[in-house]
Amino acid sequence: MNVRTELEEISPVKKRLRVEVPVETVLAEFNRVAATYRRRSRIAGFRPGKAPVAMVKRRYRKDIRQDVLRKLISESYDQSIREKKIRPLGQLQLEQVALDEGEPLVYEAVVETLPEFQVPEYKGLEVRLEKKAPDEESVNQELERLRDRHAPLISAPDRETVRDGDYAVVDLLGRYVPGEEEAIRQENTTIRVGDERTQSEFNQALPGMEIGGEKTFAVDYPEDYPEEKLAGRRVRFNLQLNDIKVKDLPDLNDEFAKDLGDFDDLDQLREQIRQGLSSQWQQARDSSIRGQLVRGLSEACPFQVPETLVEERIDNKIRDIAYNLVQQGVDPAKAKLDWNRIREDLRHGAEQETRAALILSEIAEVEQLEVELWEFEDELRKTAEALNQPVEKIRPQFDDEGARGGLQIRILRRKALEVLMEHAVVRDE
Amino acid sequence: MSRYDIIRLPHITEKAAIQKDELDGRLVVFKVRPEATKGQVKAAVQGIFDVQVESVRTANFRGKVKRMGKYRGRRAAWKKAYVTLKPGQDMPEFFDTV
Repeated sequence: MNVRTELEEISPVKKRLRVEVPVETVLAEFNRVAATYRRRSRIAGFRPGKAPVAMVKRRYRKDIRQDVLRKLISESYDQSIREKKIRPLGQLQLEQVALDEGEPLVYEAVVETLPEFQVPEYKGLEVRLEKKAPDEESVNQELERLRDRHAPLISAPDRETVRDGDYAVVDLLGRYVPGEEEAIRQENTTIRVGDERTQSEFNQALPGMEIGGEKTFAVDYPEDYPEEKLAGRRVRFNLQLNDIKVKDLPDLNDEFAKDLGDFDDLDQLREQIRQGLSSQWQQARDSSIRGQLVRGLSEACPFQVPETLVEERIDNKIRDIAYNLVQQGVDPAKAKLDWNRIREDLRHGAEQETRAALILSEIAEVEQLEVELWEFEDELRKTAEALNQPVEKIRPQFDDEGARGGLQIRILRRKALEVLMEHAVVRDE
Repeated sequence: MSRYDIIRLPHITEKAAIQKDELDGRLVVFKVRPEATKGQVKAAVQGIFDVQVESVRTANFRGKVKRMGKYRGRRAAWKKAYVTLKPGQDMPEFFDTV
């Protein structure tokens, strides 16, 4: 096919193709398609397939035009992009198509392409450590937290007045203002005094009260208070203090360790905490380093990213969010979320990630990284786990060239990122 | 009687198409009112399509007898008119209307 192509650069990653297919090709294609229609034609007065071509052309004008257009565009487009050596991303977007039998076919297509860029220096990138490695001090803190969490509440010995930090056992009766209707009634309920989750009016009213004492005060609940019957209402409470309780912190000894579970003594518990903290810290550190590297790469090489890829990445993130909502039992369609807003919020990060991903692919090439069979199998297994399906069930989906390639690219990028991590300079702060 | 009562519809068939080609497109075939004469057909075609007619040949067709269960009926009889145009005369194609 003798196709004329003009290429116009709109941006480094966006191009406009103007393609012209000559009259002869258009005519030939019209005739070819008309002939196939004629063969199938059933027109009254004629034996099947024997109607005159001219008649067939008129009767099936629209269908024939569609077929010709599809065929000519797909062929000429392929040829054009090969001729201009561009690799378009995403779906073909046509603009201004003009086609008539007896006229050349002319159309414009806007395509996005992979950007060209220089791989930045990627070894020895600096990253900051945001958190210190856990030491004995953090183990002790964790132990204290455990102690606090497992402490039973006991009546405070020889105490008559409430102080911040106490647990007050009270009888409550709340009435709406105005209205006097009963809003809430609770007996022997426990309120933590001075806690930020306690309504501030209670935190103010309780300290200084004596056992057996009574108090009346009003509470204004905010509009977004989780309990619907109280949200946005004013309630006057009548409160009587029955008891003051405090936490009875257990002693930090082997006994305590045994009570917590499968530990023989306190040292074993400490060891367990130490390991837990350490692996938590390592994970946080790795993910922080990865994030910094991705950001660093993206900033070191600020080329324009094809919109198609960014949108694709945002779509994936949105899908993840929706999936998580479903997991939590929330219907994403009903949740009051401004999806457009979320998309925009995700855009910046998605752009950075896309840019970094493109750079990582290049790095993988420079480093001549390859995907081993076991790595592919491993990734397949993880994908299956993420989808909650057996490996063999999803395997056929990856027989397809494209899907297989996608998985491989993902592995290559991860390996490239690992190379970066190996060579990164970690600075302690 | 109007010319449109004489010419009923173009008769477009494989046979008509072949004969038309043999006469370089100068032939048109119509179904006409059985009572119409060649002269009336000629006048009607010239009037409707603004063309010069060279000759008209006609043929009568008797309606077929068709039966539907115990009932017997007859399709309407019709007349076919072969209208040959004078050389150089043009005729609209009827394909779109059929």
